[in-house]
Amino acid sequence: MKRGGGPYKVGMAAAVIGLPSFLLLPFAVVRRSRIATGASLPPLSAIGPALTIALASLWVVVILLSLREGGRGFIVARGLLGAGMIAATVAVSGWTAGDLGAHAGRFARVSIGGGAWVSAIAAYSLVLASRRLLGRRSPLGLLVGLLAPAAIVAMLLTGFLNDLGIMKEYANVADRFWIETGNTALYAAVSVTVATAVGVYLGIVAFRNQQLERPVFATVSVFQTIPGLAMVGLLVAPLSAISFALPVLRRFGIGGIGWAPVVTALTLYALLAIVRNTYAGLRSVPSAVVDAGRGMGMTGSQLMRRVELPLGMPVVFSGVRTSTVQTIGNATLGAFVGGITLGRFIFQGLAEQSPDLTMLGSIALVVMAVIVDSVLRVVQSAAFKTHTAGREGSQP
Amino acid sequence: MITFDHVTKRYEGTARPAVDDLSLQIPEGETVVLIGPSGCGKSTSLRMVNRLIEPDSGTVSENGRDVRDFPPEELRRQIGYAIQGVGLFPHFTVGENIGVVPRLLGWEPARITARVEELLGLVGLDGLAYMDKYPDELSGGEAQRVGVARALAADPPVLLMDEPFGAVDPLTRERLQSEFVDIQARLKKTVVFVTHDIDEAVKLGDRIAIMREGRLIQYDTPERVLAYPADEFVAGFVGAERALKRLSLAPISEALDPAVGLNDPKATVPLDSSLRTALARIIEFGVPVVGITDEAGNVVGSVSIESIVERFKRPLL
Repeated sequence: MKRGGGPYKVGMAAAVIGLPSFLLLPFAVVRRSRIATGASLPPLSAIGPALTIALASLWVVVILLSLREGGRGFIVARGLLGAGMIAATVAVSGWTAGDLGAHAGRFARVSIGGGAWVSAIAAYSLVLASRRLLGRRSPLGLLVGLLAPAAIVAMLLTGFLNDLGIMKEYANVADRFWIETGNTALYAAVSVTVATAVGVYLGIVAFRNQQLERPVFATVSVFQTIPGLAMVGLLVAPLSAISFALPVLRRFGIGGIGWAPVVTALTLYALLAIVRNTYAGLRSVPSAVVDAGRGMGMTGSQLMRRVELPLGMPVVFSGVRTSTVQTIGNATLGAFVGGITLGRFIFQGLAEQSPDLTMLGSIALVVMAVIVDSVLRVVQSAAFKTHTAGREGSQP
Repeated sequence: MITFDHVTKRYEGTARPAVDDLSLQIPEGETVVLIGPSGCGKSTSLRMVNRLIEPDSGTVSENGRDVRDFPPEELRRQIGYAIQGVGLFPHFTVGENIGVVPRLLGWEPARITARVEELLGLVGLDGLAYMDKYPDELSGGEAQRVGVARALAADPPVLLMDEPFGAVDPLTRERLQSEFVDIQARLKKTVVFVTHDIDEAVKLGDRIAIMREGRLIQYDTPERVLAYPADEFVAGFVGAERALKRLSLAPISEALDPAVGLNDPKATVPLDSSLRTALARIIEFGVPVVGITDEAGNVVGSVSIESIVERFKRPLL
């Protein structure tokens, strides 16, 4: 893509989605009580003409900044603007929640409306695109990426958002919220650890033994086709049978319900990405390197331990990363069988027709997945920075 | 000595064998170059020596012992192996790369370090400066040198080299070839060398084995291959300039006349050059005869167009 050329497509697309959504969809939803039917308020009645024009004009600025692709300055400006718009949308929502809630009575709930959500998500695409163009290691990119999260954390800590329905739900369940967050993290960690041990082994088996390649992949793939609820359901019977046959297991909490079926299911789901990446990582080792190792007299396991695995490790690790993010999302399964996780709030919210509670659980999962993914990315780039792959003396 | 005895190898799903009834003896301490077009079976033959490929029939033996009598890993640790694209381990330092086989053989770390330094010196790299570098910090020529050093690490009597200088520019390649000739003159390894470059074969080989479609077409000294190509294929393969290539193999002493008829005192060639250099000098100065000088610069004889032509009329033994 040529810099400075035609219009910036990401910016235009974001504005085309963001601006009409902001103007036409409800900015806030007000309920008289937690479970009452809500009244959707368009921005004009929710936040008044001045703020409506202010937020809408930010989208106009996005369009103006996207008329051409421009250089680095444009990229940074669009990223910062996107981040600012997210923060502004959240701030205005928090502010208006207090305002509207005061009029609607003590038990009133004010939720962020669809227009505000879509507008914020469209703005987020500006942040993401800008980060990618600036490069992962660029300090400016980091600033663009961290601006909105930092602003939101600040608003949370100062209580500025406490009048929002979602924060009222949080206040009700705060204790459980952190316990379930911990549970989710724990289940994900245990599942991914087990899946890594098993998955890397299976990946090696599939790589080394052509006859086993198909059966291995068929097996780990078939787990993906079983819906979560069915998987947990299928595990309940055998696990409770085992725990009745070996009562000692029950002392560790292993049984048909509780954490055992959840962690088992999560592990089975986590396998595919790890097996696939292990296999791909081992395949990616240059054939000349493998040939040299064999030709110098390495045994199969020496070759695997000293050459193939170390060189394939970056790919293996990104499989583990993918798997981890996926497992955090899958952890909602816990809600079905008493191995409770953040999924509990999602399903409870659905059952009670309280969208704010559902949103609380979902956002917590997304935030957790994003944080874990970023941390693992940093670990990955630090651990596998040099000499693991790429050119080996091909320049004269 | 390495002996191929009626060796045949056929890959699944191919019409003709990759190697077809190959019989060949590679004498101790000589460099034998296997050469031919792609798919002629030269690499397959080389890889049967260290059992990276097993023959379907026939035997490959080293000093009379079938290579299949040895466990493959043990066999391979006693045979140096250098390949095209080098195959250096990118996550190992130069020192660790060279030390792979000694480590597999269980050498003491101090002995490995000493050996690595010695070998880096042998291939013309400063040991201390290169020891801790990674392959991605090396130029192509340096990487190939490290590849050769690695193959020599455990001082194996036999060296297998599969286009080891294939991936570098022509200038670097020529330098590497000359260095290899020098090293080999000192070490006297039994070398099986695969290439598709006839100039490389002529320069490095004590003998050349020309292969085509899995069969051995001609096995002879470079000069005889150039002088008496076995058939049209070989003649085409060695090229229309084969007479010039022969010139570069022939020492001046073989066409030396007494120092008479010299007109231009500057038209001289050192005694240790090839007849190719002498001919180049003759053309350069436009004279029929050039003087030949010894190390001290004294004219000790002459070479003329006639003496060169006479030299090539003599049949080769």
